[in-house]
Amino acid sequence: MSERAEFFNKNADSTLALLIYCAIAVALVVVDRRLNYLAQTRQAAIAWVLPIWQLSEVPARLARSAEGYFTDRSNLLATNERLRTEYLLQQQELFQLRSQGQSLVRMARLVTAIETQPTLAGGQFARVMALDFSTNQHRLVINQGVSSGLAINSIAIDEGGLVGQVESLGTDAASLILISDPQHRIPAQVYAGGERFYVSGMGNMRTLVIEKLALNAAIKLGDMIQTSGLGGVFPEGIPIGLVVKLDKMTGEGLLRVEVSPAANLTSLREVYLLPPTPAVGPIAPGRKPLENKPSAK
Amino acid sequence: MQSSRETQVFLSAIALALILQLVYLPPPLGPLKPWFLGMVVCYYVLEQPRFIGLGRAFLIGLTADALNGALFGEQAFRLCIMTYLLLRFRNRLRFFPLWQQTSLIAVLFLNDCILALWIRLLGKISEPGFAFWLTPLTAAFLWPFLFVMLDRTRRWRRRAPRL
Repeated sequence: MSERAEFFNKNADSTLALLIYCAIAVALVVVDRRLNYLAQTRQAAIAWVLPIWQLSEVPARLARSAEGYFTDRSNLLATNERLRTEYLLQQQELFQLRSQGQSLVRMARLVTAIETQPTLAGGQFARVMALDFSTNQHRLVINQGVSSGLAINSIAIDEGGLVGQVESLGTDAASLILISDPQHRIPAQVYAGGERFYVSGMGNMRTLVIEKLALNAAIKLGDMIQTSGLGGVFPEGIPIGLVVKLDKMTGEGLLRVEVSPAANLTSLREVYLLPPTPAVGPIAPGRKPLENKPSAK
Repeated sequence: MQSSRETQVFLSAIALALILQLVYLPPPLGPLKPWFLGMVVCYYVLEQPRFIGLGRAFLIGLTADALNGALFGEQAFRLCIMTYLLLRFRNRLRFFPLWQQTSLIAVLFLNDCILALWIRLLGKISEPGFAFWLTPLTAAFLWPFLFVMLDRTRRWRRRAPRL
């Protein structure tokens, strides 16, 4: 019995204690909430337990830094990718701008040349549409044709010099045969001495050739070669190129001259087209330029 | 000597629970974090009631409140009620198989959730999210592990000198 009573007593005690504690706790809560009296106490307590906070922060910080590492890595990869794409795009833009700038410079030079040389007046500009630079034929297609008054054999020049001539015509397009085409020949002369010959293409855009020149021909390295105007088609005085190489052909007593074209054949963007000139003066020996172009093909 | 070891285990368990309470967990786990302190106190009330009474529960609760409580006195209140209930039913609970004990722990923690909500309403603090109501389940899920772990730690401590 006494045990039982004790048990109940103990229970009663603990219930009382519980009530007291709960009352205190609720009072604390209310005071904390309403009057904020305990804020300072709490701050003191927090200051006291700050090391524990910091300690508890360690795994969190580790986790966060690991998380940061991984997200950063994937982020970095993504950013890298994006930046690379941007870089490529901008590089492309830059190249475009540069080439536009270059072509503007070239155009300006061409315009100046046209304005200063009366023989070049009356032409028109055309954009290069397509290129065909196989070893056997050098052609390009431009965006002007019969509708804009082009004729067969119209002369194409760029800011440097002769480019070629119109070979076939469409309404709004024309095909040019370039001077570097192996089947093309131009009646030409040395600018200074007036020595005459043909300049032929050899399927190489950086080199033209003068075949079978007499050994005593008045030609030397660095000479400027230009059209002679003989045989019609090409007006006189259009630059063709500079002599870059003189070869004595062994056993034949002849000279083979290599000419670097003045026109920028490798990077044509636009050409200036001149009407073909009627033949003036005697026709040069050999085949006529008209026959030289592969019209037979 | 043994008793001092036990005390050490008790204090370190409480400290660890307090620290765990503070530990930041990533978003999916954070809200589901159970009330570790309550779990440790539960264990000690059940297994070693000489370490813990209402007064100590109250003090531990105040310490926890100072550390991370929403309101000063909130966890003290909850711990007191939890301790009281456990002390009331201790004799029965101790002889339950672990799974039954575990389910009762879940109910106890659900009750605790309601108390916490009441305190929050009293203190005019915003209601916790839905995950808050799942914490009893996580507590129940972790309870067997905690129980076994603390048991082992205590026994190991006790046996260590003999070995």
